[in-house]
Amino acid sequence: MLTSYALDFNKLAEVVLAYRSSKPLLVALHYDLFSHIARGKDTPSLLGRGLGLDRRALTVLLDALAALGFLSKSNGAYRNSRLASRFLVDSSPDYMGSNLRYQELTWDAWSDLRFVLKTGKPRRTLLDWIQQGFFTPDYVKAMGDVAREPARDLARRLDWTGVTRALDIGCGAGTYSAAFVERAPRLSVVLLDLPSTLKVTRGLLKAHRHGRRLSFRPADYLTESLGDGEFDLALLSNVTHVEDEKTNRRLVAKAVRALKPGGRLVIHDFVVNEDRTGPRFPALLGLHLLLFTGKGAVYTVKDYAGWMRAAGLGRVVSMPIARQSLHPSTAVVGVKPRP
Amino acid sequence: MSPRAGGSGRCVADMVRLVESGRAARVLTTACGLGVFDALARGPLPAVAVAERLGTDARAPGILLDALAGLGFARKRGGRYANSRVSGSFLRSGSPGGVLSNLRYQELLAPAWARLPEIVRTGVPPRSLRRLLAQDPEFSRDYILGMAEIARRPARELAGSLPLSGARDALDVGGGPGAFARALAEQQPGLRVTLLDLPPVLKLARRLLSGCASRRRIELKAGDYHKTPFGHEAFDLVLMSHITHDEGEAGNRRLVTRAFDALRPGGRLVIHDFMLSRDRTRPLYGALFSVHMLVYTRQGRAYGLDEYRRWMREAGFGSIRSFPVCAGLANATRAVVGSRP
Repeated sequence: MLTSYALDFNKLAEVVLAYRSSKPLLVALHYDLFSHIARGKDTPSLLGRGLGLDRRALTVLLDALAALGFLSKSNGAYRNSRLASRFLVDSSPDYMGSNLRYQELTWDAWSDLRFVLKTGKPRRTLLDWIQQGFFTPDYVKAMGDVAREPARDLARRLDWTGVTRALDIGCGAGTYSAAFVERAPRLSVVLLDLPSTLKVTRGLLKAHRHGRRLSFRPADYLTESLGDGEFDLALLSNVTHVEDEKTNRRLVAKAVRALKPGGRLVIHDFVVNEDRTGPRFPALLGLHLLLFTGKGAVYTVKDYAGWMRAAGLGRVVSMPIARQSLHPSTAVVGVKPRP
Repeated sequence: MSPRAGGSGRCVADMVRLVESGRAARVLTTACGLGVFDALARGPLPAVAVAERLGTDARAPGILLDALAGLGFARKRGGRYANSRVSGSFLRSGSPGGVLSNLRYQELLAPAWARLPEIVRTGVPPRSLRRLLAQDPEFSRDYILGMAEIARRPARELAGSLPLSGARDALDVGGGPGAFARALAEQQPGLRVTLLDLPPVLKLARRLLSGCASRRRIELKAGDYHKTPFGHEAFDLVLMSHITHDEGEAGNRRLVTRAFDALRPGGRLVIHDFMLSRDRTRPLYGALFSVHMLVYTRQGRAYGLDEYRRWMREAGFGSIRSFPVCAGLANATRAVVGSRP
């Protein structure tokens, strides 16, 4: 039996253990070690020589990855665990390396949390990073990696009757648009994002079997028009959390203008409960956004419904998305009234 | 987070949680670095008042406090924040049994951890422990005080498990804040303990040991354990607690041999540290501790029990045995004891 001291102490020790556990995994993906191990570079010497890495350091890192269950070790050689083979080797269809490499890039910003709390401003914003082309492909693919399941669920929950034209505002990897055209046979979608992002999106969707129902519109949703009375449905998925309230109100109004009468605006995002301390993932996402955007935040369902009503939408409802997953999200839907 | 060690039993959810937990850790250590829990100690406060006390940006602390509340390290009621039970008892400065300095030390090493990709390439840490201790007073203070915080329990348990009867003189090599020296002196009336460490470390040890009943039986000896002679057949007990993980293998063999010479016949060497399985992948805490050593030492890591036994045997020690220390804690350790014939 553990004493109450041990239970409380271990709660703190677990947090310390946490950064020591996550960083080795991210660094391994930075060097794509699991892919190299899958191709037979399975000892510290082979990996070290092949990738120009220090042998002692690599041995310590590989042992830590084995302790974490990502590798197994016998006679000084390492093998990928089932989990690593499936998610961490680049030839696997379920590869999550892009997402984890993106997390590795964000680690620097997280290390800077103390400074950001003093100034309230990130050193570099997400947009700076994207515009510098620094990690666009990894960032966009990362968002695509994690979006597949909620995209399928959202497509399943929306009513597609009579919906033929949709607008995906800040489409990123285009995962939501792709799920929508899979679900709705007569739908075509306009994917709108910055030119540098759309370059990656086009590549990702090149071979999509409904690709001819997807078209691309390079634009900055902050400064350019989103259209006028053109769409049956407009989507803002995981866009509002990178903007502040004032911008979001403006964005909602612009999206409403782009809708036909009777059209629907769907905002899909991670939401926090009313006191903003949970659930755990969106509460931590709030800090992540502080570190990256300086203006983004996580909002409540009440916030979204309020902006929609202020922009003239009616019949506002919310629905849980990907409820069974690790990171459930929420869709808030409002209807543009007919005159 | 409950990372299960072992082959293929993990699922993708564990992996995602792992990354998320890394963020949770940053939230907690940052809050310690800023002094959030001391600010909250004076009763429930709104976020703006916390910001004022900390001298930070007005908007940011609210987000940090919400995350802390979500993690169970703060309570939020009616827009005001207070310490939770765990943060109130462990994370305020000066609270007995607290670990604030230790977490502040973890926070000071965050920039070095961020550079792990580069460290894996070059094998060289941005700043080594020796340089940090020599150049950075803030680091030195939080490092030594942080070690004192987490040393008390293992020190008492270890001292209670050693056969000390008849021992008159003990040497605590690199004993830092003096938790082990004190536990030995308290355990065995009549035992004189020499604590050997660097002068700036001893300054803190002197403060921490003042008022302790066995203080006059503890001698603080300024020196560098790499160079300062231990003496010849002068001790019944030599303790090396949490120093071998800072050294390379050759350095540790030298330390074990010098301890042998310093012991009287029948005297014992006790090495206390995180210890790994033969394949160096268990327990998880130790394997990850090795990565931590990579980040700020040039040669250190956690070693295997088999390595310690071998070094002791080769130096001439007999009746070598080992036992666990603080087995219920996340950072459990082991002691290896050998006797000079």
